[in-house]
Amino acid sequence: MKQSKWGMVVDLDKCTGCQGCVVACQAENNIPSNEKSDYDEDRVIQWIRVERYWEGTFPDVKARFIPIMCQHCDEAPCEPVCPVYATYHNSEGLNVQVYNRCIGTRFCANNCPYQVRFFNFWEAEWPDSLKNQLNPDVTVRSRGIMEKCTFCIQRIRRTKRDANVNGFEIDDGSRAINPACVNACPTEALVFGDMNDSNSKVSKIKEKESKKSGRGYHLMEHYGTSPNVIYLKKIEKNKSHSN
Amino acid sequence: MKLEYDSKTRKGKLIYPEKVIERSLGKVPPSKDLIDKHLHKRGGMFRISLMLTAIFSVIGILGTILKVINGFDNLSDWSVYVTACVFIFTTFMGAPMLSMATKVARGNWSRPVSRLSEIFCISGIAGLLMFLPILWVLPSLEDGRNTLWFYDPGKVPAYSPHIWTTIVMIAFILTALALLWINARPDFAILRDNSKGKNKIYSFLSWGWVGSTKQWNSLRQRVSILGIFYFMLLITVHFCLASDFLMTLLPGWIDSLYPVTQAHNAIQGGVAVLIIAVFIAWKWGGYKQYIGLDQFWGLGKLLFGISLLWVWFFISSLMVLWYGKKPNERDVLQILMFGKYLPVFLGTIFFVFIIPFTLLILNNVRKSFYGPPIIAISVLIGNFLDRFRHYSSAYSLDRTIDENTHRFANLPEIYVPSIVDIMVLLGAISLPIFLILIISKYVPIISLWENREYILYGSHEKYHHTEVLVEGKPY
Amino acid sequence: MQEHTQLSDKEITDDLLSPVIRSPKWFWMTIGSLGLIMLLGLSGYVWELYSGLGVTNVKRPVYWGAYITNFVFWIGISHAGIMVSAILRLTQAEWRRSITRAAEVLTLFSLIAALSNILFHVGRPWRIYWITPLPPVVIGYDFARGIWPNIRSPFVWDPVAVGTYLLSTILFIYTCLLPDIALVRDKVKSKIPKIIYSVLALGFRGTPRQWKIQATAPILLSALVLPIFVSVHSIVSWDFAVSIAVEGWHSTIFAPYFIIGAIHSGVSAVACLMAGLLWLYKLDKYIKPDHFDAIGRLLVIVATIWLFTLFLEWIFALYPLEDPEIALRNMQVFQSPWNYLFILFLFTAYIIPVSAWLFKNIRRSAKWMFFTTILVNVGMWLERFLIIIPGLSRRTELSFNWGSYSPSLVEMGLVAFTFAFVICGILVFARIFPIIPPFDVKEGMRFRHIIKIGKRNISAVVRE
Repeated sequence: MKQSKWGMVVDLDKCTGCQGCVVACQAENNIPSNEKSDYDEDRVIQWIRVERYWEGTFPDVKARFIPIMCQHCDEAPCEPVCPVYATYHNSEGLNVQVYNRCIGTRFCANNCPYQVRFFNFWEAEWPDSLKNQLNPDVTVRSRGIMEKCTFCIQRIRRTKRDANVNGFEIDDGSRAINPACVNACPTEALVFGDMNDSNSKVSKIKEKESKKSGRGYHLMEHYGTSPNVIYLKKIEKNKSHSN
Repeated sequence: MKLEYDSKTRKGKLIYPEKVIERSLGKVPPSKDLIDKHLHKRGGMFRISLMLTAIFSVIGILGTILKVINGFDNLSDWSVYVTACVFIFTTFMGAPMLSMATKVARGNWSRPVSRLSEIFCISGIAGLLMFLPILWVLPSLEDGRNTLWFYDPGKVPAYSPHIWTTIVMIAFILTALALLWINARPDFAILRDNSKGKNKIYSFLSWGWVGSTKQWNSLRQRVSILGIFYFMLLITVHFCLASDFLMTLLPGWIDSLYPVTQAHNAIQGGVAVLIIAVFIAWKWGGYKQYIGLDQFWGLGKLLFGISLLWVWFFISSLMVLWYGKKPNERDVLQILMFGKYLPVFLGTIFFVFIIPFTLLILNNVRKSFYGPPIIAISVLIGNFLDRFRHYSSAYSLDRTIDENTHRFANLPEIYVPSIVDIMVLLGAISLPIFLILIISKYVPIISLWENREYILYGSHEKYHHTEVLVEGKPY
Repeated sequence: MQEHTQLSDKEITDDLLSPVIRSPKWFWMTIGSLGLIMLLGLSGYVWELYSGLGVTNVKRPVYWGAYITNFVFWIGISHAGIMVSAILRLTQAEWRRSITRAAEVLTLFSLIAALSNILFHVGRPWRIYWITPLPPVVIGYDFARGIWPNIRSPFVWDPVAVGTYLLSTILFIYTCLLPDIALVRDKVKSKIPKIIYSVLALGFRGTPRQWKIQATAPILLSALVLPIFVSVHSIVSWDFAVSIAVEGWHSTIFAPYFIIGAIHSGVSAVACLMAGLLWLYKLDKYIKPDHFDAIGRLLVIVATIWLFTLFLEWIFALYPLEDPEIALRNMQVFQSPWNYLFILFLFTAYIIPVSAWLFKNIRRSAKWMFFTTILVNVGMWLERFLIIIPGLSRRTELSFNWGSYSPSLVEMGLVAFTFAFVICGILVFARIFPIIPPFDVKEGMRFRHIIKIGKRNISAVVRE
């Protein structure tokens, strides 16, 4: 079997900024609920976040949305700085965080240009009513360690295992393997798949859009991190705009 | 014996060197031998080397003229020329630093060689002459490259790098020459009183020096102020040269340490040429009884320390670029170190660091007459390779950047010097030496007054069973 | 060095050993109040351990705060000991003799203070040993978990460098301390201390062979410790400089900039300590205005070189004219409260002290040097703060995530703890061992010489 290399495409033209992906991620990955105090302290944990930018001056104002999650860079700057190998690159092109190894130096978070790494300042807590909805496939992180988007690795693993056991092919765009955010996106702005498989949806979009005339770009390319998330520019009526 | 300053009662006067020297230099008369040696007709060796350097200088000038005729449009044509010009500034013009530093720190061992180091000031003139054509070679700021002057059309002159670097360079050379003159003034006075033929020149040069307390005082003050000023200008010259005449030509090269590294390399090269000059004066100049093992030892230790410091600067810079791995940083490393310039780069490391480090770490090599000069030659070779690696690659680069990868579209081939370039190189090395040889006919290459001081402050005395060196430390 | 009091061996022994034989009156009171500060700070740490790092004010994106600032600050201070001791020893500067021990002890305690900041900083301090390479199985427990530390990380270089530095500092101090411990052993009357000193003295009797080894060892150690001295702060600077994502950190000048800054703050701290000791123990026969003068002149040069590296850092950050960098520098210089801090930093770290040191009367006065050097260290603490926090506030293109930071009460308490700890440590050390080395001072008395030049008597030094 060919080695997979997971990637994602974010079509900014389709994103409405509805935050559905954020909620889905929160539920899937056992992220403690972000309360007002967390926002006040700048300590919210959102593995995927929708950043909102205002363009123009009143009354001619437009809102721009850009969902940002871990870019799973091929040359991830967060990896070499971790002293205990808590974050490393796995064979499927994912940038993985091993919670048990982390000692909380927060060096990786400093060296991430996208700021998608989060630190557990307190012990995670849920109200009693929510305790039974925790996902059994995902570790609940203790305090003092880093965490971040995993491309829902538990779903990838489970699908692969099931495919192995039952002997069927992995369907690239299936709901079983897609991360929670992709499944939740109402406008299909997020597309997930195997970059190594030339028939996959992401590969096709990548091929089409990374040409000179295409809309594809990486976030903050000049850092040379070569991310595995491709953004597609919003289509403007008159002018082209990039973030 | 009691000191004049009683530190218990804090009474009395603190003694400063100048107060000692005006009253007591009379005790040590200027060495007749040294004066004779200076006024004596030079030997055949001297004349031959003078002739040779003169011929080579003329060849170099011819080469320069050929270059100028060829035009200023092609940057890469000039890359060896630039290398040669900067080489003068990173070797010959670094040498006077030793005299300034040891004077400010009041070291004793360097007194016999301090004049030799000051004499290198004159080579600045050669450097300035060579620098002038480069001003036309370097593009103005209108081509949109980055610059230290934050170019803003209409507000900042498009030629600000040219203007500022020239001003700083002229100030630097003038300071150096002023230092040479101030330091040699007492010697000119001695020569005025002792020579027969060149009286007029020396009485003009000594400018009324009689050796009063006031004059000694002002000499000390001027030397320390100008010495510090010289150091600052040295740093500034290399700062301007390295940033606006090198770094900004290589897009993406943002290395805040490089100007310091180059200035440091200049001091390293300076010490190296000084060692060679001292060796020549010792071996063929007939100054065997004035230059001793102490001087070679001191200079060897200095070269060792400087080489260690150089490798630290180098690693500090490499580490950050290497770890950063941004596209522009990979490009810079690719061009300067690991691409076509890899052999030059390895040569630099070998000659500038590995040879001095492995050899000078042995005290036997440091404390010998032949060890330091050989290593100094290696350092000079490495220094040249280093300049070549930087300047040649920056000047022969095609500066278009690929939009997708954020990297250079095409990397340059290594520049192979042509015959004209070799002519220029020969000239660039010979012209400063020629000037130094000429001036050494007028300025004694062992400072007469510092030689007296050297005798004055160091005395050998019996101490229990052995004899020890006692060093006077006025203040 | 003309200010010199020629003293007999007995006078030196009596003078320098008196604080060791009995405690001065102020001693227990000072230790008590410092202990109180330490206790308060530590109680904050206990709370932090109990409830999590939330009690500090670090947050996204400013993940490093006062602890790391303080860590860099104390590592910087620790450079003083080696700077003064090793370099002056190698260049045979005579005036080092009475100040080397104090400087080395300052190194020791400031290093421990620096290391304690790492414990405060990390999320799971009980797992901190994971960054060291460990043997697979010890006493039936697998400490290493089958994993080697990631040697690419500057946080692995750090413990290596700092650990080596700490060990060599202890070795250095102990080697230079041996003859003095032997001296105390001979002078002390009560029984138990005598036994302890005897054990510590390792049988030093002052035989010619022992003295010969004693004389060579520090010189050898000085030469060996210098590369460590350079590597430690370079590596600390690379903790920052290797980060590509933080504007204002990714600069090649950082290693020299940090080293020279460390020397600036460290030598200032030594001068400050000397003035303090002079005042506490009445050491005016040993620490002379000349000492302060020499240090003052050294500091003027060091501070100016430091300012030049600061200038280089700024100019080369700005010259590519990248938006995030300009936003960052704009924040540092024009936005409150950073602009006030920045001005305060420039004035305390350079402008006020250096312009004061240009005057000879100020350089030669212990009192003035005490206050100006304290100013320098206030400035240098701010310098680190101003490098770390504005950089981490992330003035990048993703302006959605811009942040800010100010230390919390717990953090301030622990910073105060480190200061109290270092002062307390030095005082306790001075109670147990002579803080000015009697044997070194005696040696200096013997090397002293006067030569006659003309009508003047000039102080001179015997060179081996």
